[in-house]
Amino acid sequence: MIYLDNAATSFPKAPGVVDAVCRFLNEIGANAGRSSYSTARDSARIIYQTRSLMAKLLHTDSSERICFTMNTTQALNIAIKGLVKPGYKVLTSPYEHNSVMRPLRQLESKGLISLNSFLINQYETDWQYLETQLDQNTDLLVLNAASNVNGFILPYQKIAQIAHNYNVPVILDAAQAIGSLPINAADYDIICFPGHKGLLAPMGTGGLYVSQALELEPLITGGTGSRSSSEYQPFEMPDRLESGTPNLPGIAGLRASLKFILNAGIDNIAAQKRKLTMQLMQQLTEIEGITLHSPIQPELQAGVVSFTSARYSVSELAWEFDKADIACRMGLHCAPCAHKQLGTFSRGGTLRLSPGYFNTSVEIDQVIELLRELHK
Amino acid sequence: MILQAVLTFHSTHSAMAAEDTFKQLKLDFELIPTPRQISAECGFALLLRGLEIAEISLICQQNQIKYDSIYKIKFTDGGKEYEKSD
Repeated sequence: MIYLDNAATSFPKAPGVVDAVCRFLNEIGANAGRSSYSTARDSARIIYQTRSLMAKLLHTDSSERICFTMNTTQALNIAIKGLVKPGYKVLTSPYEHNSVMRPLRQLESKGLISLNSFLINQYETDWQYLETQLDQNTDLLVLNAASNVNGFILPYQKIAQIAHNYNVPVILDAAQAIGSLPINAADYDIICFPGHKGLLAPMGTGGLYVSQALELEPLITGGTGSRSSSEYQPFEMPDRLESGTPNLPGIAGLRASLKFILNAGIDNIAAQKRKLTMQLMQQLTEIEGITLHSPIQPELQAGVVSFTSARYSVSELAWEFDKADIACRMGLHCAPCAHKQLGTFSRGGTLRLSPGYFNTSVEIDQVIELLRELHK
Repeated sequence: MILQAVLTFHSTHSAMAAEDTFKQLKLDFELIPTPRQISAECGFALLLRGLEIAEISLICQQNQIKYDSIYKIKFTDGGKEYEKSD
């Protein structure tokens, strides 16, 4: 199979991940932070070391401010619902995933918050409108770094900086950015990230970084192994936001994948993905009948390519891809507002191809060959 | 009798961070179940050997180790007593 659905989850995983998961399950298997026998200590060390590696990736010394979750969606729910207060005015981009929009719409429909989006025209941010909103109409900004629909890299660093000029806290959704785009913890109030996408770890891993200045109301409370004499949730991080038994096999896998990524270097990983993405987009534009819905400029592209065909619906294309044993994703990609922004909502979305670090240019050629045949 | 002290923590993360630092500093220590006589806050504690309380406190301060309390172990005829330092 040619796997080009890395925006959904990465495949294959980083070298060493499968062994790390198996080793944990076969040889360790203990819960962490509850007991102090040797394998329980090993489990606690695995979590501590993974947190430390994650802190290194985000350029922070405060590893205790990183909490592990099942995925980015859970992290975003913890962040949004733990931070907003009744009456908050929340600003988003027009490219958000439903992992951001649904928690926000849920709060909006309860009458707790009001919601607005800033404007982006042809990949150009309307800076004046953004500043006006931040100045007069915003208590919180929730922003994704790159679109999961078409790879568009938003000017997230600049937007966060401007938001901070107006004392507006920023939650960054790094779902498509972590592992290939630069992210410094100091520039954001909260960063939500997946382990299983760009970090090449197993599903069921993700997390959030919370700055020192913030104290979130926990979404989930329960046992942490600490302050057991109290029936109230501890204030100490990371325990405050991490109740219940964690996904230790997954975290053991994440530790292995983070070692691989830090060793390979984010810039090298990004360069390889960019090379394949540019090859794919350039060749797609040469096929008559295909319309690209992704930014072609490399500096705006996080490695997610969306297109439609004049001759086939996206479902017909997805069927052809499946018959050729190519993994892709068609439809709305859980991001209706992004498709409305791109004008592809009413036609059922796009076909999405998302190369990963382990794809090859030969595989991209094979995909292009299939599309050429279909458009003869 | 060699000096012994117990360092307690509010979270497993802090205990692990201390363990990591103490390993790098090549101190004589052990990760132990927190003695029930002194705390039930975090399951882990560190038993340190050969250091005065003031030295432990200084090492923690210099290495940004977040801890709950330091207890000096006093050996008595009947066993052990844990004396909390200020």
